[in-house]
Amino acid sequence: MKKRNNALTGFSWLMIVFLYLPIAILILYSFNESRINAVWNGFTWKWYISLFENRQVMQALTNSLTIGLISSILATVLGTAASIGIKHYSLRWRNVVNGLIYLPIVIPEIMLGLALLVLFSQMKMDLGKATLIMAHTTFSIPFVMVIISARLADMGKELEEAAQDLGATPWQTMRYVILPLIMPGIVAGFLMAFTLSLDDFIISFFVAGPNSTTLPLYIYGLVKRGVSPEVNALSTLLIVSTVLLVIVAELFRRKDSKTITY
Amino acid sequence: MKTIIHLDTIEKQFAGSVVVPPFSLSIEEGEFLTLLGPSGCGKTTLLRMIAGFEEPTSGEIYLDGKPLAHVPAYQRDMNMVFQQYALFPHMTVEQNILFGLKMKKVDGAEQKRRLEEVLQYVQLTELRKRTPKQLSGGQQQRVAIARAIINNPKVLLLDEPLGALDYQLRKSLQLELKNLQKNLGITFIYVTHDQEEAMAMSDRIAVMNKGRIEQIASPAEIYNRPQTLFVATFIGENNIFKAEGSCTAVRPEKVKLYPIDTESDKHKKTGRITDVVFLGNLRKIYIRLDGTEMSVLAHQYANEGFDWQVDHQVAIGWSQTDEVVLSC
Repeated sequence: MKKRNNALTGFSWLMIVFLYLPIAILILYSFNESRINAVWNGFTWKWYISLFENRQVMQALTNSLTIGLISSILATVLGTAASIGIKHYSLRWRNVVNGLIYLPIVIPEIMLGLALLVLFSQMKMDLGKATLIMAHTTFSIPFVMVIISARLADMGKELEEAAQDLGATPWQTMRYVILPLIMPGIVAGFLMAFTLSLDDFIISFFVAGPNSTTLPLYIYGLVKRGVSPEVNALSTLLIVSTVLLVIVAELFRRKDSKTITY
Repeated sequence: MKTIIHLDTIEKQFAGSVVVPPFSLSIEEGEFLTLLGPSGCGKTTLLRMIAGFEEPTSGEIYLDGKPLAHVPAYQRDMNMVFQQYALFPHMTVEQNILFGLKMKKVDGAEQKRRLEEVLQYVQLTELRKRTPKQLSGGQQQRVAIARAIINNPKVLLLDEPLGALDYQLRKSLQLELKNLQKNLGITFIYVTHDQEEAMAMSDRIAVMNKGRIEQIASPAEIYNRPQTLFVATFIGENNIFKAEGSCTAVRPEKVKLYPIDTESDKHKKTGRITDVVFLGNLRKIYIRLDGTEMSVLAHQYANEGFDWQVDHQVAIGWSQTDEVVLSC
């Protein structure tokens, strides 16, 4: 038996509490009977029910889902194509290109938001769903590419060569070998992009316009008038769906590596 | 015999450095040709140029008289068996084997007929619905071969196809592959670093070193009449005696050992035994020559000569006809 290090175990638990206590409290108070956050008056679903009866909430939800779906489909298609392209062309500046592609992941979101806002206004575009979709597609692409590039790197080039050797044209190789093999990665990338879009606040804050309020923006609007139990309920729903999406994405990403190691 | 593949002053450079210096080579129809050499000698690069995965820097490759320069890999009438097999993990055995015919849109009934034939031939009929992961190394190797030969290629390229298998299996598959080649009558171009494998299967062996073909000849000629020092030392074991301007090679099994006191006039050299290695059917005897730092290796088969022990003084001799003179 391994001897446990009690100090380490204790510290780990402390970290977990530190990370999740605020979220746990938020979720807990979304079921609170009382309107005041500090007092626990008993369990209720009524805040959730009132959410679904709220037309504005439903509108924000519809906006979020539409924007999320379209932007993540676009990001997945573009990201997949770019990953495959980068793998195939032995570009001279490959490392530089790779760096440039992954840079948006670490650039402060507020910069990206500001930059996009400036761009859109330069182009005289009206802020709204279209600009939100473009912005979300932009920041999702690097994440999709990270997942799919890892997948492609695992695959090596032997399978592609085998396909060509057996008479498959480049398109046939893509259709029958590359795409089926990286499909789990594509699905994982799509789910990741969808999650990112659903959760994004900062960039959306810059590029959203009238009638394009997403859920995070709506929550922010509500909070300005004080934290109500509805906000807690809405946030809880957002957290739960995000966690579910990430779990499913992770399952796909792993299924990935299992089918390929043979 | 007609030439199926002709390499005309082929050269390959990677980033400015020469990997394969220019040379020409003709490969005959129905021939089993092995490219043999240590790793990094350019044999795989050569195979990949023929397959179309690498482009020669200069020179031209002809398949059945037609130049291949502008023919992409997927249009070349030859197939390759990859080192790690490169079976498609998302397809069953059957789908893997049919892949080539599907890509070329061969008619369905014909696909089915050829599939059954090939499955039977490589004895995979029972395993047809499995995926590559569910197969042993030897079975995967058979799928890789089936997947290639179902296309009736003019030439089959094999890149160390037995490299990933264990010794016993490799032995039996050597014979199977040789028989397969004879029965199908397809030209095999086989890459390996294993000289035993090359000896056992090939019609001709091209011994490669640093991108150059050192010698191309039948296994017996390569072994008995090596043309360069590299071939003499790379293939089997050899004793090399250096003199001004030339070297003399004598195979260890040609070296005879005598007790020091008999037939003394015949003896060329004398020495002391430093090591005796027992290998079952064979004993390897290492002798340090008197007055030099040179070591000589002699092979003694069972029931031959004396029971030599370490530290015995011996006389060494061989027949003049067993000497191979090399420039070095």
